[in-house]
Amino acid sequence: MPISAVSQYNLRELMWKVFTTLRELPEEEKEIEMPVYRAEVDPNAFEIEKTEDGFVVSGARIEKAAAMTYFDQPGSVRRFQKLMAGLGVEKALRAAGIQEGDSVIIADWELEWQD
Amino acid sequence: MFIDSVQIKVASGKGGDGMVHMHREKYRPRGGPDGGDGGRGGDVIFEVVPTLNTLSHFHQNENFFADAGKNGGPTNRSGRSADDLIIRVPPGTSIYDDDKAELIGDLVLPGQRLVVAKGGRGGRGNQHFATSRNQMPLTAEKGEPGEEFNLRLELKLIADVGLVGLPNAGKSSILAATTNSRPKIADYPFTTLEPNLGVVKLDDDSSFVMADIPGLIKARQWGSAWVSTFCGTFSAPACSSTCWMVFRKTPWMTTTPSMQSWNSSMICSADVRKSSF
Repeated sequence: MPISAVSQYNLRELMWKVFTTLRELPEEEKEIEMPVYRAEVDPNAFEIEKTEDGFVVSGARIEKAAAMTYFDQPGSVRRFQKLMAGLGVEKALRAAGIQEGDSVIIADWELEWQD
Repeated sequence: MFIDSVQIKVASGKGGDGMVHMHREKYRPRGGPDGGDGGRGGDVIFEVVPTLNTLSHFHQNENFFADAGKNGGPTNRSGRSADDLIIRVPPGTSIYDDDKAELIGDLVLPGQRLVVAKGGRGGRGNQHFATSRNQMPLTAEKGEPGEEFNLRLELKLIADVGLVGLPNAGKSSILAATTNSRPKIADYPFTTLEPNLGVVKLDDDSSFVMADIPGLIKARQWGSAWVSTFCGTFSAPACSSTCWMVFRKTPWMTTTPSMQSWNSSMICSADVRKSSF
């Protein structure tokens, strides 16, 4: 089919032809990449690692709690300790053999262990 | 400039800190706690803006941090919540988490929104920690930290038909003649350096989107790079099949090696070529 873009000759016919061809195209079965939803990791879970600097505690809930605690307010610190006990961090640290004066590192915060 | 893939860093805002404060007023001893709450941090939201058509506004502009909430004040004053950070993207943008290499979402429809990072909630002031046994709580919360993501944005143009051919063959002329698009047309090869889109409207119910692509030259020169780039660009999730309109003089054989990697839509185009041109 001869066409000309300048004189618009046959262009409309061509476009109709393209349109009908487009309609006849088989539906392409493409693997559409879907968002992956994963089971949420238990936010209360935590890990304790013994390093030279001290005991490094990592876990979503405990790190968030540390970030949200005013360590210069006695009431807030008590609240944080209560949460640590509730999550089982305290028990786990004792099981890991923590001594008085050892430091506990939670994300950016370094705390000293006192019995 | 046409940019179809960018890497950006987004972070939602931290919540404002709650306050420890005791009420002070003349003739009112032991006024009790009145520390206010912090405000909510801003979310990072992607929004589809149909007037955009490239990701070039992300060029050299790759950090998007939403504001933090304001801190709480005395006399139970809550901090102001931060405004959400809205990032405008063109339709057909896919958002990937760059660290996990996972798709977070496709943004296709105009006005569609996707919240990528939630802002942190504000911390509670000490007004909330008062109990009958602790009437003067020295307890408050700081704001919740925001989330941070490294993202990769990929723009996939949504076209039904692509125009493929040698440089200076008249691809842009066809687009200009059949659509309202006004691409640059000039009498020298490689006038078109980035794809142009146009809607071919045949009647009220029949229309399709046609894309004009820079000219292709022999494979293994830089033309082959063009081919592979635009192959990626035009595999849009919303259009299940793309038809390619191939100009007669296109060196089909020379471009074949790279075109073999094209998906099945390419095969249909061969039929178009045989049947109509």
